[in-house]
Amino acid sequence: MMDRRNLLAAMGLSTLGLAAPKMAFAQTGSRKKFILILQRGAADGLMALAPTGDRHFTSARTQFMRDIKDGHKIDSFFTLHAAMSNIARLYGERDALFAHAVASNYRERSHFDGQNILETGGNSPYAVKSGWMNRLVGLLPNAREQRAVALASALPQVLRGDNAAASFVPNNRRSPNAALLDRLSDLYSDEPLLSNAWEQARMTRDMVGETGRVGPRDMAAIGALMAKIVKGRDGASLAMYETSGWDTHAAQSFRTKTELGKLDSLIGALKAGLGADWSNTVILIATEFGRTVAMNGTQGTDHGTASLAYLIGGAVRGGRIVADWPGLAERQLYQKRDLMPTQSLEMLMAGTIGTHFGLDSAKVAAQLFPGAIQGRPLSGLVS
Amino acid sequence: MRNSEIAENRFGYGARSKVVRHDNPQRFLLAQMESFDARPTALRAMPTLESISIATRAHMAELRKSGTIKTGNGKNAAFIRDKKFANAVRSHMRKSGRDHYDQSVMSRFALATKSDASFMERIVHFWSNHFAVSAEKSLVIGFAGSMEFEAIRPHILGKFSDLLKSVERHPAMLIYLDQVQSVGPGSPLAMRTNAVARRKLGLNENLAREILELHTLGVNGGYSQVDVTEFARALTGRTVGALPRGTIARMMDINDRPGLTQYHAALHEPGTRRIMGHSYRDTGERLADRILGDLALHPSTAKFISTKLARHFAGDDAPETLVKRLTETYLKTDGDLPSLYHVLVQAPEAWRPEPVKYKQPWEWLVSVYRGTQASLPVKNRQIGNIVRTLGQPVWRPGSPAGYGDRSSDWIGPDALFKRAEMANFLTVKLSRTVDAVELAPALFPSGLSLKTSAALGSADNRRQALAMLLASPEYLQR
Repeated sequence: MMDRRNLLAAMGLSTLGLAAPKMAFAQTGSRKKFILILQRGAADGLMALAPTGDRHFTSARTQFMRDIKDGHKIDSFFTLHAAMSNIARLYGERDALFAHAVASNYRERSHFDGQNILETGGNSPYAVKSGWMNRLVGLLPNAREQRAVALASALPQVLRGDNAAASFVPNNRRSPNAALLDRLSDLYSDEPLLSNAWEQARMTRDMVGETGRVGPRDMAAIGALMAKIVKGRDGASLAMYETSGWDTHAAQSFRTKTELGKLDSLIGALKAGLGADWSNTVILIATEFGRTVAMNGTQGTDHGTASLAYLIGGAVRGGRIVADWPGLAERQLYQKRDLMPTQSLEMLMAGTIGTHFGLDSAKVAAQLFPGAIQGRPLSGLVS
Repeated sequence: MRNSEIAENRFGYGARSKVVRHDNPQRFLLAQMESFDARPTALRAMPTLESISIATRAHMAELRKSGTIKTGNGKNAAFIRDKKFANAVRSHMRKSGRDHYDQSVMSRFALATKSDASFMERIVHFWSNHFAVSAEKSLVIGFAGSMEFEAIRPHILGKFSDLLKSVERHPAMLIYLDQVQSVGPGSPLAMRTNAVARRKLGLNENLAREILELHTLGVNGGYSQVDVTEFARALTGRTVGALPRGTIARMMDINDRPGLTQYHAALHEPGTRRIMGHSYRDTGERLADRILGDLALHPSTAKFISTKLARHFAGDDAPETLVKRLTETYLKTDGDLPSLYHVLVQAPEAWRPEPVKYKQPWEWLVSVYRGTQASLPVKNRQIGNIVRTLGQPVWRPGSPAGYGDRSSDWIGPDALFKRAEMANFLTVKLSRTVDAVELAPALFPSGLSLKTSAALGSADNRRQALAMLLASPEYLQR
């Protein structure tokens, strides 16, 4: 097995500057697009991008090795889960980057606190009221014209705050007639909370047009819908989607395969739907924390610490794994049970967002992730 | 709002067709503790654990008789038959579970819309959300109704510890939080099989963690990872008949009370446990309840439960003064729930005249049916579909934390639009019998805002007026 330092040199941060430059894309006149996909429930990064070159991994996960055997060999050390063919292909095309052993600054094991920190950017749960994606709206040029849309019923925490943001779930019920909609606009006009929500909803519906109902498991349709919302100069610059089913305390093998497959279809549909805008797009996939290295007694894993984050899109300098691999021997684990975090998820996000939107990454870090006190924004992740 | 309106709207599910003026609204609410029916006739036809178990057993007998499940030959024949059999039982439970679910949701809704003690129905649903199970785990679906009706309803007027113990042994919870397969690594069964088996038996800490984090102490309640693991060890032995797989299944008799909670000493981790500074001698089956009893009396639990109650009834920023009084009462009475409801009802913080909260979709829908006296849909599934469209499917919050209880969890752009859409849809029929201009003063005797009155007065037609009333800021809040 490679030791930690060699591994770092082979694939890690130190090679960032040497990555082959991509072809410059023609200016499409489109705005930059950023899509966040949250994996709620603590997704197991070790199953998604398995460190098959680490002998401690294979011994800790004997009973999962069958799933991993058929996976996509990324390099001599890592294997991407077989269910992610689209993402594997994008990796080959240098449109996908994996950051492993990543964690937010949260070090306990509650989903709900972990998600709150991931979404607010604070350093303790519920300390910051608004979500970082909402604050990001305010940092973008022409903030008032920027659209941010979540495919969700209520606004997820990450999009709550003072800046305008919309939530949207398509269905096939006939929309009320325009007269009622206008009258409700008037009826809500004295109540800021209702009025803002109402106008955002109307605007999003006007933008998307007729959709019909989209089933919650139809990832191809969801991806196509998201692409439609984001696409073009007038499309949303920011979009987000929540996935669940990652809390695999039992029967992990089957459940992970299902969820990773859905995630992969979503990415495939986004790429197909975005067309020319793909080159302006960064998709970030992240989870609140990872899962234990060892399996538990019920063919699953329990709440852990570090996990995997994905950056996907035409604007990503992909085809790389960014990791400072901590190793999986017991002494190398966090609290003798979890993958040790060696990179800050907040700094990964700050660097990505800063570069992508042409903002000062240090300022992005300070405003979006005030809770992350250590480290500097990672550079060179996106073009 | 006047106090009679507050009693109906903030504490209950809204008035039925008109707000009756109560001389003493507090007494009106407290009297509901006397009149509350824990086992109303409407629920007698609902599937119970007992009936689910009997039906499952009958199904198993049927399978055996019909010979659908082939025994086969070879040395693994018995093993393969058992496995097929167990799968058939699970699939039967899932299938029948969907009907149980639809029936139960409908009965729950009917009960809430007709109840004269709707404060108590709110309390039932509060606890049901506190001890959330979620039906996207397919085996939970048929048991969720039973958990609320059999494990929660009968205990809302007792001690918190009894409510807690009753929930943490209900199959829905044991299935949802993966207790069914959890085995002590030092248990007799694991000692016997782990040396040779490929699949090692061991702990699953999910239930233990969520009891500490979500049901009792709260996330900052002072427990550590060691407490979680120790508690998980203590809980081993508790499982559900016919549901475990593999080695555990082979040890149990699949015909023995399928779908019912069981204790098997062979799964239990022996030894003294140390949790939150207390030492517990191993008393086997009784151990889990002793720990739950102590957790129920912990000051962190008192504070956590008090905060949630205050947030639910007195507003998103649970008033500290009220939380303090509730916590003191909790500790003084060893978690006596009626004493807490007394404090709530008598709290000035909960009687502020301006609305303290936006209604959750379920609350709103129940209040619409109560206010308009709408007749219930004929198909069981319909109510479930409506609340799902509104963003709050019953017993399916998608997480053991249950549904959020802050206005911001519910008033998103899409969520608000869906309410307006639903108001518009429901008024197709309703506007034939209900006139918004007559209904409004009956439901809101202290008056509507100028905006709302003007909107109702100038509406294009009856239906539009009613849709606007149901979607008005007044109707959306409590």
